[in-house]
Amino acid sequence: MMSRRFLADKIWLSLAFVAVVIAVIPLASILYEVTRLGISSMNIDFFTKLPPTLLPGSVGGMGNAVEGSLMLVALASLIGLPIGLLSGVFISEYGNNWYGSTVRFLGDVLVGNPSIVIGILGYILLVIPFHGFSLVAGGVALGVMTIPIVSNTTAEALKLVPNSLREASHALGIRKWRTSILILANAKSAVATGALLAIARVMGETAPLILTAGISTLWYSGPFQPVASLTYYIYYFSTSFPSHSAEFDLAWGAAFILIVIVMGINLGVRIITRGTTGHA
Amino acid sequence: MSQGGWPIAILYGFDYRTCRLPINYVPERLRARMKLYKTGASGTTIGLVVVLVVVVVAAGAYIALNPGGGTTTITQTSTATSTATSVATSVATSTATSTVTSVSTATSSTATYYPLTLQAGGSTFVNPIMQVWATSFNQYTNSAVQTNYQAIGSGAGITGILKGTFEFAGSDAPVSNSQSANYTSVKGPLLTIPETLGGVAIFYNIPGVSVSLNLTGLIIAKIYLGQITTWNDPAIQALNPKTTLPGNTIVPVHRSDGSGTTYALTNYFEKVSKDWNASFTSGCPCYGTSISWPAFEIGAKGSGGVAAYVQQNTNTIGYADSYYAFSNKLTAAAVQNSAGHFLVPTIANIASAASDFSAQIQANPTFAITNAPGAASYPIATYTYILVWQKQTNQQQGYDTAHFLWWVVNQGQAFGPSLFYPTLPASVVTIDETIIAQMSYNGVPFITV
Amino acid sequence: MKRRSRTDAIFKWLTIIFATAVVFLAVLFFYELGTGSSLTLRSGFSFITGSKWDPVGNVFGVLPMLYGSLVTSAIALVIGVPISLGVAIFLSELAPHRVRSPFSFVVEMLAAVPSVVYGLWGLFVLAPVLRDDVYPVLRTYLGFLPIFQSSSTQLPGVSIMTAGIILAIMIIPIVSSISRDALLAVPDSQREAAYALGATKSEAIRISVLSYARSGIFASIFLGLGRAFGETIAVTMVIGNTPLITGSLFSPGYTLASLIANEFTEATTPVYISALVEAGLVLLTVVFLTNIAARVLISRLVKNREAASYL
Repeated sequence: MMSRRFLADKIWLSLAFVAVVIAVIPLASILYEVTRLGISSMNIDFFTKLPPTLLPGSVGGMGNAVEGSLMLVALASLIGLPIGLLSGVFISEYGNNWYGSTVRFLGDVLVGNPSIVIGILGYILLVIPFHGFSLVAGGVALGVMTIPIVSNTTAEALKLVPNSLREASHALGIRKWRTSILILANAKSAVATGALLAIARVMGETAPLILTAGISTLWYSGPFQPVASLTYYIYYFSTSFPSHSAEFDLAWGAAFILIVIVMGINLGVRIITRGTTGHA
Repeated sequence: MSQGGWPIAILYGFDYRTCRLPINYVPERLRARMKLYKTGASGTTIGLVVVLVVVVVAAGAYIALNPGGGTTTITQTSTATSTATSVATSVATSTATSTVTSVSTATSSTATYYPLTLQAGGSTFVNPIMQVWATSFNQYTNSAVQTNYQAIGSGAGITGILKGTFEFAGSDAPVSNSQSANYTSVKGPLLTIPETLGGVAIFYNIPGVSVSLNLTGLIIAKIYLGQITTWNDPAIQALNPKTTLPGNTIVPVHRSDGSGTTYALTNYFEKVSKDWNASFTSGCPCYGTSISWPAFEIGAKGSGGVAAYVQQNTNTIGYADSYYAFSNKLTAAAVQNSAGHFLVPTIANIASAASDFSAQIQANPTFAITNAPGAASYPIATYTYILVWQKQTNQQQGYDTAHFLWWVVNQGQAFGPSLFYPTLPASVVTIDETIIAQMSYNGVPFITV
Repeated sequence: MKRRSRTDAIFKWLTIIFATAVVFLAVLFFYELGTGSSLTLRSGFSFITGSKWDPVGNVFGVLPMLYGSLVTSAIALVIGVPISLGVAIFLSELAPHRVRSPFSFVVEMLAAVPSVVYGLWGLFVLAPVLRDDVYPVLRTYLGFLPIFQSSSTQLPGVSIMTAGIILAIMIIPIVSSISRDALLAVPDSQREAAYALGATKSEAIRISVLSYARSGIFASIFLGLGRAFGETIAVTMVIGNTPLITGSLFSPGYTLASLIANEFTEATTPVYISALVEAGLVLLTVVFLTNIAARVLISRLVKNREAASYL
């Protein structure tokens, strides 16, 4: 009887281990497949040429997609980071009241919003009035996605700084706004972590771009024109072209470069902040 | 003040007149304590972020200030026009090996064009040749006019042109009055120009079968209605006695997005199949860009999506422009036309279908050319229409658009045959030119015929 | 003194204004989607209960899409939650400290993969494997269950089941990390009490830790549900895009998010647009409610970890 319990114990514990292995397999498979199928497309042409057409001798690349993704993310950060940062400062420094907790709560809830709904919002507010898909619409939509993320991670990061620092600073007669900046400076690595992770997340989004930025076969041609993006091109090329075609291979190449950038940021951030606060 | 406070305070600029410390004064011990609470390798992370942000913003600013859309002056070209174009000849015969054979384009024209980007979009049916046209016209105008054509489906193309997102749209389905009524009352007439001819190929992926099966429109309609469910159904087997067909279930693939190809196919179904009409309880017209498909079918996005899905999954059947059947190396069915012949789509028989209806097209350019009566005509042929507003609101864009469309119906036709699009019949070209000449800005037409 | 309070006030109001942006956004979503769908909201509940989606005939019923969203999310939870709990338990209770770091790192990397890459991998790597190896086995051995039956000899690789599996993989990081927070928040006294009574390790976990952390685990399940319900692009690529309600998991389906992604750009008439916006409103409401439920449950947890690790 005792041994039966011990046996059950061993089974349950090994099941937990099996669960971990099962969780790891997809990641390994994704990384392996994306690398295997995508790395052959990594050459200078990929970054400098436009998508291939059917004219003879047309060599294609995704230069405009890489450029477009970077621009979208840049615009999204320009919009989302300052707003999110100051919002986080509010929550942690001035927000020990009902309003602060409401902002906090809504921010948490907004983080989980479906990205297609943000696309709808962007379409209604930015595409229809400006008569078309545009970089601005895409950037703003992505920026709106980053605001709640950055706001809450900043608030969390600032809360980690112990209160004694604030008290000491007040005791010395330093003004409140200066104190807040001091605290922010203290938590800057955690804040930067949150910002970087928000940027990495937004870089991999497709659904809002379908409805706001559209797609473009040309180089960037103005803020109020549609702009290409890596994610949309992956979606479009992989579902509209046969396997073993140039476009299909380019889609995997784009997936590869996207993974490299996004996971590179995630990896880098977590390696650098490892062993300090947070999970093991 | 705490230990070590006074001397350090003086060091940091304590103002003995007003007895105030400077704002950023922090006593030594506090400084030390602050260091303890620093989370992580702050310097490295901050450095990373700053470098990243600076690089990205700088790159973005550089790109923003130098958009790839050309220079700001109108290009004047001085080279003489070379009007000789060698048309690709070896086309419909060698289906296994033909790619876009060499077509030397009519390079640089002497006319002047405004350097800008034309936004367009719509049908995936016409996308292969549209991309070629965009690039070739760009060469023709010495990199002045760029065209961005988004192949997002005829339905989205119609929306785009009605809402003013696109300069022109490609659609295999004409715009109905109910769709355009709100817009034409404000913006004036919408011109519908048949600019491409194509055939809807029915292709399939059956394990062990690589020949073109003989099918009738009725059978295909029944497959899509779910009434014929296996390959070796007696109706199909009767038409193909020499081929052994497996008993597997057929999985039909249709378009999940609004599609002019669907429009053409369902228009054809309506003409040949009473079953099709009967299954639409709300009555006919029972064709359109987006219909309710009955049970157990797969929806794929875009012509390319349908072709790609059929290519990758066995026991599927799908429909798309014949170019996609070729590029995906799929076998196209031989569809029976109204004269009883079974035809695989080729340039010749699609062109024949168009010429069968040339009189009707003269009267109404949006006449559907499915189920053509000719003996050598492919039954599921369709025109793709370019939709553009007659009254342009921007002189430069209107000018470039009008000239692009003019170029497409004239020089652009040379690119068609190697991509499985027949050239337009001469009568249709004349009609198109008349329509394009109606485009005007403030009452002044862009092109005088 | 005046100068001091003025800058203070400016800074304070600056932060308040930007914080209001968050509140404003939440309100804006509902306002815009509400007004955008006003044309079809009038038809009331028939939008949700109608099963025919016919834009040409102006009949809009999203029941098949709602069914698809619910069933794929349910599959995701059924498959994903046990795995995530296993991961959470392993990482919080069982693993030696040296092993914890790389494993938790790897699980968090799952969250970093862009959803379109999940869709790409799902469509071209996972779907063929499922179609050729897994589904036929399921149909052979479990075919007595209606959910595993199919009228087609060749099972399509794209189906509700495939979408559910992809979603399960996508929710593992979020469910496991919040569950792990919940498990770590259980005071040691609970575990010690169980051991003192002679429980084995798994029994101790089951008796003392899991029940204590119940609300946190439920919160993580809600968050996973919200994520699975709202996921767009990965699902669109592997679900087959056919608005059907059949009892079988092997048939293709359609979700609310895929509907919007596929058809929004081509909605010409105002009624069509309004119907699609209303679909978005339904989606938003469901996800919003599940997220609110989750956060309320979480706020009861003792939180002492930074939020960045479970983005």
